Amino acid sequence: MMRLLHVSFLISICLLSGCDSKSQKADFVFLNGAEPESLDPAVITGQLEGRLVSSLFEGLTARDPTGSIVPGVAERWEISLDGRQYLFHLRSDARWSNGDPVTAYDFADSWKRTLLPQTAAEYAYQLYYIENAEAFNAGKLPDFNQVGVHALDDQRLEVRLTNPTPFFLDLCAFPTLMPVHMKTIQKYGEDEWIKPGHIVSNGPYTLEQWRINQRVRLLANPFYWDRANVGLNRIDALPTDNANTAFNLYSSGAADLTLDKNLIPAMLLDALRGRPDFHSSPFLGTYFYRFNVTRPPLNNPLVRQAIALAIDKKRIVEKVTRAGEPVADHFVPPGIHNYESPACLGHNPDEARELLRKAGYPGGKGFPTISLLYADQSIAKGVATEVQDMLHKELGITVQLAQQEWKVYLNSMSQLDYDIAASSWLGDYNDPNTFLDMFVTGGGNNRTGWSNARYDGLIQQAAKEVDVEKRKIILQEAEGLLCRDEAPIAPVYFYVGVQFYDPQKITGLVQNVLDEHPLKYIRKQN
Amino acid sequence: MLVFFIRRILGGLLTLFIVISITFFLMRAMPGNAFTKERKLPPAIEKNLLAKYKLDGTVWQQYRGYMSDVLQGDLRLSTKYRSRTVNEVLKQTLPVSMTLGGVAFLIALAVGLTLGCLAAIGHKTMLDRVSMFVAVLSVAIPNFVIAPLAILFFALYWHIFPVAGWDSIRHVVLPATCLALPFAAYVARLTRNSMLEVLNQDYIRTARAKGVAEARVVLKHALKVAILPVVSFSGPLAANLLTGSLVIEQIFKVPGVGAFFVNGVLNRDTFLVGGVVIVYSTLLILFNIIVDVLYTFLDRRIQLA
Amino acid sequence: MSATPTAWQRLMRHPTAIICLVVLAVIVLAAILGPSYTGYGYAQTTDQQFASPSFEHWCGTDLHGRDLLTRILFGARVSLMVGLIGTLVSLIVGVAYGMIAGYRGGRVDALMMRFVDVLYCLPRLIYIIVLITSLSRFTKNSPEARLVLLFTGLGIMEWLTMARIVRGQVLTLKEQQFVLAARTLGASAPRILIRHLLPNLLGVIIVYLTLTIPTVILGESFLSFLGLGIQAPQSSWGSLISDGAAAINSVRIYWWLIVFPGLAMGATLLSLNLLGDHLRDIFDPRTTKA
Repeated sequence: MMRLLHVSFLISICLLSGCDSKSQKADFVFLNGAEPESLDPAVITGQLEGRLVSSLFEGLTARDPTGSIVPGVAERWEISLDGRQYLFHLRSDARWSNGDPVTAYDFADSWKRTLLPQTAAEYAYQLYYIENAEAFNAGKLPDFNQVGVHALDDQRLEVRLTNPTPFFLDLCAFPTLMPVHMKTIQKYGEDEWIKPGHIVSNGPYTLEQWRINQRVRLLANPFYWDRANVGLNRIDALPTDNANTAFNLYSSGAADLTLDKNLIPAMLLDALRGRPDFHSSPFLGTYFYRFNVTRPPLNNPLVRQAIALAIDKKRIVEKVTRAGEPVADHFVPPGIHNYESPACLGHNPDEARELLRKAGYPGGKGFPTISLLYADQSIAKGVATEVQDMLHKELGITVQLAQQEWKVYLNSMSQLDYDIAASSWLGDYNDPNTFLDMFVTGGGNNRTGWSNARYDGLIQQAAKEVDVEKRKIILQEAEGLLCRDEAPIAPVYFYVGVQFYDPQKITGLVQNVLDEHPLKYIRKQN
Repeated sequence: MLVFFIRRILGGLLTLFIVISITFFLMRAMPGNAFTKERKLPPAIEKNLLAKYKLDGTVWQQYRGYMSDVLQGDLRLSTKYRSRTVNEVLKQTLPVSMTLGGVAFLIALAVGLTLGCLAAIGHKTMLDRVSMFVAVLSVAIPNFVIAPLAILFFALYWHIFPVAGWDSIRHVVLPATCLALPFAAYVARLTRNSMLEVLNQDYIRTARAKGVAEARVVLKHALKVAILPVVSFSGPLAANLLTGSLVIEQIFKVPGVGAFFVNGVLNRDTFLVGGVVIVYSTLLILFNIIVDVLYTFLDRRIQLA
Repeated sequence: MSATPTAWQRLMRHPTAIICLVVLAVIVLAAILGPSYTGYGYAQTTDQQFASPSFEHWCGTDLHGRDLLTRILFGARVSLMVGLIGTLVSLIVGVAYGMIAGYRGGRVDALMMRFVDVLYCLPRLIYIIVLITSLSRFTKNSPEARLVLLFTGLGIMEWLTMARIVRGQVLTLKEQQFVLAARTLGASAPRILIRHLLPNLLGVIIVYLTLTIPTVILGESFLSFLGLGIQAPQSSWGSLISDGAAAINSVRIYWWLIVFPGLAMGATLLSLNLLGDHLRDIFDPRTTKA
């Protein structure tokens, strides 16, 4: 017996050595959301990966704390009168973390890599605004020289676009357009180059440690051209997708900042809102319901409008989401550059009932049972439960809730196998186009079956329009058509970004509509 | 003895082969694939992705390719964690889960055996009733309730242990204890019942009559036999610890394998799930072999088949 | 056959067993009758969000202002049903399998048990998730279908243990006199299995029934925690508890969301477990005191 105890003791000592003991503490710890899928700029698609990639790499342009575009690797640029030709002048002191200079050839080669079919970059379509890029990516054009990006010499990069794209400078700050160090990739291979010890990056930080589900550790890049303005030396990004765990880590002081809005326990929001460490502001995201317009009774626009009018959005943001979200009567969130949305469908149960009567279902009589599809557990379920109840009370129609697991839900939506589906959309850049071009005929992200030639025409027209005012009017007309006249969607609320941090100790974070908070500018007092 | 080992190991390998195959076909049969995302992928890009991960071609082709890679020790790439091979993911996360599971196993056995013996010795006294009541209680409350409560009291209110993470020995205590609790309770009940049965045997009464001290009676004579049901429970115990760790790892942010059980399936990460299944089944098979061997040492009446 | 009346009498001698039976009876009764008599619907939303227990709402309300007591009682129906039917599924499959394997013996038995051994090595959780996920397309319009999927999945997880135990019992029983006698008289195998062996297995079966129901109910709560459980707005104890677990934090605790469902489920599982222990003491010949 004693022998057994001795052995167990020895075993436990050996086992406990399986614990990772970090050698040094980080200066700053923040909660980023789930484990990043990758840190390769060409491959990532999520916002949480984008935060890390934007700290490791830097594109032609960059963002300041307010989310506005500032010069990055390019110190200045020239745009042609027709808005289609850009000439970027790169700064001479931009360096990779191994000392190599950052050149225009790096950008041209990186964008080529992103567009190569074999790389299978999911966000390659961000580059489609460049001439011939789409054809190259589809494999139809084998010669990259025909694509509209050329390095004239080490310091100058010329880009030619298919249409005048007013948000192109925004896109240049996007992770997909950031450069990578091709020699490192060639040396270590597509999967290994990104690992700590191999990786070479040109941004404010390099990657010191990356342990799955444990932490991503960033170390200030000594070769970064703006090294003097980088506030923190060593940053830990902790991955977690459990809101309560994240909040506990923050409350106990183990983390200084929570950045991801999914990490706030929804139940506590109203108690937390008054605290000085609670910071929130709207950002470019909309929560809405899609209607499957190919199936009766939702193929009738009157029915769709009735449903949209019957949803009491104010109650939803007050009772369920409770982070102070603005109610969404239209689709494009407020705060976008040079744009105000037209008035669309609000909350009007009387008008809703009238429309339903006109559609042939007075008081909901004869209206078939329809299903409401949603995926995630917490917020979507709460909103769906309220909507089910509202539609029953106000319109007398029966809605069946259907929760499906994430991939099955995406599948059902793609195959138009649903009646109403809960959805959300986050903008990629600060322009209404990222929200409105979703719903063109046959658009991959349309998923409603809605097809309207006039809408398609308006979107195409806007893409070609150089004049800012004229473009605004075209887009407003499109949005009115989308949210008011035809209503293949019913917007519910606009997202609010929520961060937790002590404003006395942490500075450098500014509320902005893109929810972009470059780590470079954060400062911490102890 | 050698024959026994060879037979069991061969049997285990066959089992493993069947298990991996079943898992592969099930994963490929599920609706949706690893690359189904909120933003629709252009079909050309999706095609390229599937080719890169060797998920194109017919299911049979994919299966043959996969099995030949597995036999060479290559568990392929994870489709969710894009730059990671499954081998790399397991290399980082498996030791963590083993540590957590190992410590929990030891706690479950130590606490369970002690409590069970004490309850059996003090049969029909308050000690017996109370400890059995507590034991049953901890099986009636799911561990995703016990864990947050433990964190609330031991970490947030009393600051004895850290809230979450896995950086030092202090981080191990709370998750391992929460994981061990229901199993400690079960082991306690099992030990108590089997101990009671043994203590009534004639040879125990003889030992007592001869004047042997009670403690010696229990520890030296009774325990060896009473422990048999606990030993045979150790097999399923190991399995349950691995699955139970899922919840614990999520709540305590322990970077182990548990997360991939569920998320792997939900992300349609075929090869990661394959890797996890291989690990799980191998451990179980090994454990069962060890348990069978231990059994024969403890009970001379049983022989290895 | 003759064991049953004595067993009941023996059970009645233990006060704890009586209490357990009473508790279970009360819960079952409340589950059947309760939801109709509370004055609220289980899906009925009100404006009183997160109200603490009061005269109007004995157990308080939840996020949508729904009465928690009604939801607990409705959840009792669901959880007990899932527990019972899931266990019955595992029972039917397990008992049939175990009886056949045990009675046949020899090669057939070895093969069948080998199969069980292989299945034991599978990570059953993964297959349950695969099953529920893949079939959820078909249960889209019917919460009832979702429930059936749940009990089948959970039942499938448990039949292996039942099969092993039954097989073990049958191996011992089939050498007994009454079986040999029946065989000599020319009784066919199915007749022997059903008329002679099954009644003697009843004891073991009842014990494991009582002990498997809690496992299935806990399994359902685990699936709810993972988001794979019952369809909203229906409730089960598992879904109420996993929602309630989110309420445990250091800022403000809506304690009723976790305490009342926890008590309901805890009391039921406790009673079932204690009852099962007593039943095992009674039916298992080895623990009979001299």
